Amino acid sequence: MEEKKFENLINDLKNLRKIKAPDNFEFKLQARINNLSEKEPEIVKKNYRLVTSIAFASVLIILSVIFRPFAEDYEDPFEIQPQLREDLIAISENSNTQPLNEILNDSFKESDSNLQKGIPSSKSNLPEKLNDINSSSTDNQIEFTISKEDLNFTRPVMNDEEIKQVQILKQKLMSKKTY
Amino acid sequence: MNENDLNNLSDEELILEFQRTNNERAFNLLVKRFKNPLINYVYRFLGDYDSCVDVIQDTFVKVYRYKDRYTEVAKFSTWIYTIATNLAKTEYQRRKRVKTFSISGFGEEENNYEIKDNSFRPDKSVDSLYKEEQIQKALLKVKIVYREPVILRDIQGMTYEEIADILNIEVGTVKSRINRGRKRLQKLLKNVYKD
Repeated sequence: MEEKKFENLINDLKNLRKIKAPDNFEFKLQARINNLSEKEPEIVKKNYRLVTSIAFASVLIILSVIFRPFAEDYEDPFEIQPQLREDLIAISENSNTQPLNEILNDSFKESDSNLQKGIPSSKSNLPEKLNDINSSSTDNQIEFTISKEDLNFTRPVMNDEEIKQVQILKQKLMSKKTY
Repeated sequence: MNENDLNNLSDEELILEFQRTNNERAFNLLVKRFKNPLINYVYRFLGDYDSCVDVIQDTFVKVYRYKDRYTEVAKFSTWIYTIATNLAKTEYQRRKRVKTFSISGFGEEENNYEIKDNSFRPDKSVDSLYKEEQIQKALLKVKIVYREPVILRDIQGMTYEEIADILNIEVGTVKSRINRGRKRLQKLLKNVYKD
């Protein structure tokens, strides 16, 4: 019933001219096929899937050899600790060189004794209180934990006369500023 | 197997012969049988002769290369029409992106050239040629999703089941798309046809 509605249209579509291939169609087609055969080696054509799977497996093997993630001696490059540069570390002129942690411990002890004597420890760059400092060395690696309170390296100890002199100097400076 | 024996084989038997023995005469016979119907189909789809020849050449190259992919489950004509349809759609999308066109409806050459047609009779009226041109122009204005089934049904004379296999849709969808395609064509050709 639907087709009756379009009867004329369907008839005209059926009776449209039949378009045909050009005369040299088969000749050109053969040339293309011959060209195709020359480019592809036979073994690749026949064993395409085998070749691609072998290639993929080879890539996996090569990557696993290079990276070796499960080897015992494998070092994750993101977790390797930086090596200390020994040429920058102050080493004593003693022929018997002390390990670094011992040097630091000695320095800490020295600054402790200076503090008790009331000698300004400005010469030293090390913190006075070492309660929060822990040092441990393993293979030239030293770890420190420093608290905020110990960051004030220079804390001079002054007597009363020195304090008075400092006050006078401050007043003079303040008066100069006002002018 | 000699030429006469090959001529008596069906399309399916020819492609199986080609698969089994690499007999290129079987392949050439398939080319001879299908080149004209495919050219006609793709020309009505694309509207450009040069492009449609390229598409059909590509179709046969694919059949040659991937002959082992054909299985007896489907008809050979369904298989080759599916390949041609997909390549024609690819060409259509490519041309749409590039937006190339030729002034001549037959190609990019300056001169129109005659498409060989042994069925053309000199006593045909000019009116029918004009009508044919109008129909082809209208066909190209119909969306491809409706154009394809109309061409396969009304020009190529295929069954609904064959069209469903080629386009990979249900038979019901084929019928509805053909109906919509015809309606659209009739609307575009309202000066030629009356409701």
